[in-house]
Amino acid sequence: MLNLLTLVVGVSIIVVLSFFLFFTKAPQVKILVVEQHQYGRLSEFSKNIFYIKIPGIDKVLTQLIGDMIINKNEIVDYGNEHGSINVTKIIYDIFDFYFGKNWNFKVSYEGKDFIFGYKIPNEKRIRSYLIKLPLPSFEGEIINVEFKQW
Amino acid sequence: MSSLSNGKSQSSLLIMVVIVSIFIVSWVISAFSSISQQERIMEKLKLSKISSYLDFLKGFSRGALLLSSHAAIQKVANMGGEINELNKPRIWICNGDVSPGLDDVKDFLSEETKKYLNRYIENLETEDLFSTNITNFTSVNYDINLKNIFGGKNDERFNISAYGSKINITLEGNSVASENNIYEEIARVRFWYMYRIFKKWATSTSLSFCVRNCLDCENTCLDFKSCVDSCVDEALQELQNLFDEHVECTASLECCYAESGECSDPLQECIKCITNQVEVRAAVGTKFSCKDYKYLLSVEGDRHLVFFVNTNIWIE
Repeated sequence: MLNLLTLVVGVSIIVVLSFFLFFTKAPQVKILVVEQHQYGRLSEFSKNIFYIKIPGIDKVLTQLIGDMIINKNEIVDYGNEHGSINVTKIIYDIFDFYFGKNWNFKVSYEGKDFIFGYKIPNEKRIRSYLIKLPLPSFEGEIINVEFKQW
Repeated sequence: MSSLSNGKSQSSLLIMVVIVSIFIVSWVISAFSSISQQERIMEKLKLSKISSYLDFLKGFSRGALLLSSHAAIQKVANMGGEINELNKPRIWICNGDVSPGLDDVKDFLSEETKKYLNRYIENLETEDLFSTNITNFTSVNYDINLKNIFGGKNDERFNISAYGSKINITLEGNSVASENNIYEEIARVRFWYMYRIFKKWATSTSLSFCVRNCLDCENTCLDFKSCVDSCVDEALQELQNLFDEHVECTASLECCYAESGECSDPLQECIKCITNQVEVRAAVGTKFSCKDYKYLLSVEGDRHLVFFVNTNIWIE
């Protein structure tokens, strides 16, 4: 009887230890890897917006966004050669390509809010990133872009 | 019999204890190694985050350089290729061609660009977890030369570089430092095109000859002022013809002096380019400006590139 009890206790301890050893880490590691990947995409994008050049007009995305903000108009004139450019459309095309329909960003400038993207869900994990954007200015003006992605 | 069964149960117990001990030891080792693995992952994440932030700051500097260049180009073009204390466009014709050389214009542009660029760097405050230090740029250089400028190669695009800035980022004891050198292409900006055409005009215009003839004419003379207006219109047409259809030029008479009294602006206003004493019978100051409509700059306010130059013509 004692032997049986010892056997049962011993096997229980082995099973419990095995559970903690092999099964509890896997979901944590998975979450960590997924988060690392998502964060990597976000930080890669926050760097690339200074390098993404729009074909045909030779302007980088941040330049278009800065011009739109300064002119307080989503349609920005770029002269006889390019005419007026719909900056909002370009923003949606590029951001949708990177993040699907899972992004939102907001810029406030001189009392006007520029909000782009999609409705932020309540039930999902939201990653926030603050992007500093130089604006066309003789005084070195910089603006904050609050970017959210899920 | 009883001793045999006792021996067997003791063996079983011993085996059980050994197996459980092995698993406990394995579990402890695994727990510690997972802690150190998590620490390694966290360290790797921190360094990756710092590295990404470094790339972001370099990207920001690049964007700032582009905008600084646009701002400097607009300012220097408005001032006729140089920044002076009088805050007036430079004189390109003082009876003859005295237009600024390429190196002079390049220097003014470089200094002005550096000034605006460092304003962006100084205004950059990081509110994140990082402790960031970015030093100012010490040098900006426009990568242009005589052959490319006057050959038209830089009419619509050219390169500039900025050096001397360093970035240092610290996060929880981990630190990364890097040079922040930038080499950027500025495209769809026609500053050098306008400079080239103005330079060509300054060496070939008949403005000086025409105005001087206004005083020394023999037949069918117009009054001095009307004659000068006619000369300015002619010079404007010469200038307009040198540009393409995307540029619109205008001219205005800034001052007019004639001994005879036909024009009565102060003499000193009309002969700003003369440093020595001369007897002046008449003098005329004009401003020529040309506005590019092909491309617009990324600047605040009026985004057109407008190049202004002044001229002084005087007759002894």
